[in-house]
Amino acid sequence: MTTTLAVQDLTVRFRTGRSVVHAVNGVSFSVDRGRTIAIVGESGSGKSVTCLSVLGLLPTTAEVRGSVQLEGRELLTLREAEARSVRGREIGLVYQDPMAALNPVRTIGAQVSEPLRLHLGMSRREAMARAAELLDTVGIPAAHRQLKSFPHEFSGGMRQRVVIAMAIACQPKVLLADEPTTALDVSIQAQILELLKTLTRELQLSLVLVSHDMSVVAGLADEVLVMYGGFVAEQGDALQVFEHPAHPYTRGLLASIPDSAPDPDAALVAIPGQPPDMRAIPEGCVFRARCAYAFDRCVDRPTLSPLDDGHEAACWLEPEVKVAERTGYGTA
Amino acid sequence: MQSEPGTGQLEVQEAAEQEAPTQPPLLDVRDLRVYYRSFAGLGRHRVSVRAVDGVTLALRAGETLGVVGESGSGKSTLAKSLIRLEPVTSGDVHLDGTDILALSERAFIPMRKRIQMIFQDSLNSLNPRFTLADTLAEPFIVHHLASRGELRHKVADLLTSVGLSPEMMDSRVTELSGGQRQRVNIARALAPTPDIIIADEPTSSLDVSVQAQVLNLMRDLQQQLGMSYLFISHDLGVVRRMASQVAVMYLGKIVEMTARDSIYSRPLHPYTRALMLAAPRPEPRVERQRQQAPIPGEVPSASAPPSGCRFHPRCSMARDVCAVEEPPLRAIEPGHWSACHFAEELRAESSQEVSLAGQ
Repeated sequence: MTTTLAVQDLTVRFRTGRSVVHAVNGVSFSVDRGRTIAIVGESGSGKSVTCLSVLGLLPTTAEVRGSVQLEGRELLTLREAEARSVRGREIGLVYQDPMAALNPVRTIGAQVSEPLRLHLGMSRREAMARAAELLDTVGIPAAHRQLKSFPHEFSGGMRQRVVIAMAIACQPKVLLADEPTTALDVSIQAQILELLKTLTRELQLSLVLVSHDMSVVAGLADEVLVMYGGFVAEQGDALQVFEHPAHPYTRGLLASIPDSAPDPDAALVAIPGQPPDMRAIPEGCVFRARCAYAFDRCVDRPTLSPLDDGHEAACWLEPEVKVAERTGYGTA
Repeated sequence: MQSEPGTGQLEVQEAAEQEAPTQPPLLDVRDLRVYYRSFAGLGRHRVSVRAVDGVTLALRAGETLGVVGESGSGKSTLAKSLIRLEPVTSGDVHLDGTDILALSERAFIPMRKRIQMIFQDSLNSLNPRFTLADTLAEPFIVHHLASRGELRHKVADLLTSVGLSPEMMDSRVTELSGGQRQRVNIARALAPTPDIIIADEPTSSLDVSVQAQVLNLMRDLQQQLGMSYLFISHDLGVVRRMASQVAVMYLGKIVEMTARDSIYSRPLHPYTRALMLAAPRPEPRVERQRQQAPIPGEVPSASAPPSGCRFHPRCSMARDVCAVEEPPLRAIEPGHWSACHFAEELRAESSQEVSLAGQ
């Protein structure tokens, strides 16, 4: 299989006044053609900044190190004009709020055909015809008649379909979806996830799916990368990470899903405390203050260490403790 | 198309009375309707949006009624209308026997402290210029519940009760994390020792790990203080952890209502079933097998709801009658109401296959 996107040791810092925000610290991952990697983390985990780095959309104040390669071509050193031709053409983007992604005063047809005219040089007529096909592909009924509609005439789910149509318009190699269903109803979320699954398979896209919710990524992810406080806590094959979560944070994240307990009257498993302040990342393991398993070694920062085939966790716990079933999260 | 408003309601009321004749509900809502007038197409024609369309429910002391629904279900409008933040078109809301919709604005003020509200957006529901002390002292001042001298002491107690340090009293709400702010909102709701707290998606904007903290806090507080919750959420999993009774709403109507355990073990409305199936679970082997989203299409507009059963265009069980005749909410078995023509069939085939609970 060919690797489409390879991120190596990505580190992003922001200087704000006197403090430095260490948003992303040494993140590495790669995605092959037709495969899906999920980046899971809560607010402040660095997942969205990782996405912005891939797209070259970080503000100029950001200090970026490491490497982001698209089929062997380095993206971090691209000039703005070159980066612009990568975005939309080679990397499609879908993000949380479809209303914010669409221009409220331009028709759906104009917006979906724009990347086609811009990147592929199609004529207006060609682009419109292709736009109708794309809308049909993403499951918009009577696509031809919708070209002249405006975003406000669509429901949230339909708008997200339009955004997905724009994102895949130029047949990108990578589709980056940042919380694509967070703003949607449960019934519509299921439809959009289904659509993403189908598109990834049929178009052989490499999908980078970013979410705060382990459940949302469960059906799509081949690989999972769990981030906390700007660091990778755990990464590996999706089945391994879900079924044998090794990092106490991953276990806590899974256990705190309200559905996951057999007894609805038992207290929910909560991770105590708050995510760290990114301006003052604690010494040692970033999760230490909230971890039920923390011990004296955690004052040193753990690095990712291999467990089994491609599954890694940044935790000092002994491997046998790490691979305990996920119900073993400290419920004390 | 609209059915007689009375038909389904009567049965519900009778059944409710049979079930618990001794204890009258604390909050008794009957046939509540909230309609909005709205203008479509640049004011050319008027439409009426039936946000809440004939809701009857009862909340007993110390109990939690979970209201589940997606956008457009009317669950938030219902919540707001119960504390008169939305004008009600028709229907009754009795709190402890008093018809609170009939009260003058002035006479309603003392009732207001008995029903408090927690909103989804923890930031926008707090004044950013206020310190925690200002925020939490306000209910005591408004309702004349404490003297100036006692305020700081009261505020400190409240902060402690929601798991925040009294030392934070002089911080501003903008310095807090989302979870901490929601604790402040809970503390503010607790201040006038209400009988009922209406919580509208209180944890939807929180991270999962923090959500669990806030839900546990709400459960602990209920055990200590004994108030009732009307707990509104789109998330069946969250409601399962919080509620003793569950009502499922779709397009302004309750489509199913029963005790928590029966709704999760044998849902008797196709919408409830589909909603359970639609929620993803953290199990890749199960999720990868999914072929089709369980509920096709979109939620129709409340200004032009479908004829007959409002769910019929999206329902996998729909038959001809569903497009014509609106099914009333009726008791399928004691304490279990469903507004589906074919609820008995669902009951017959039910049990094992669909359940969040049955693992």
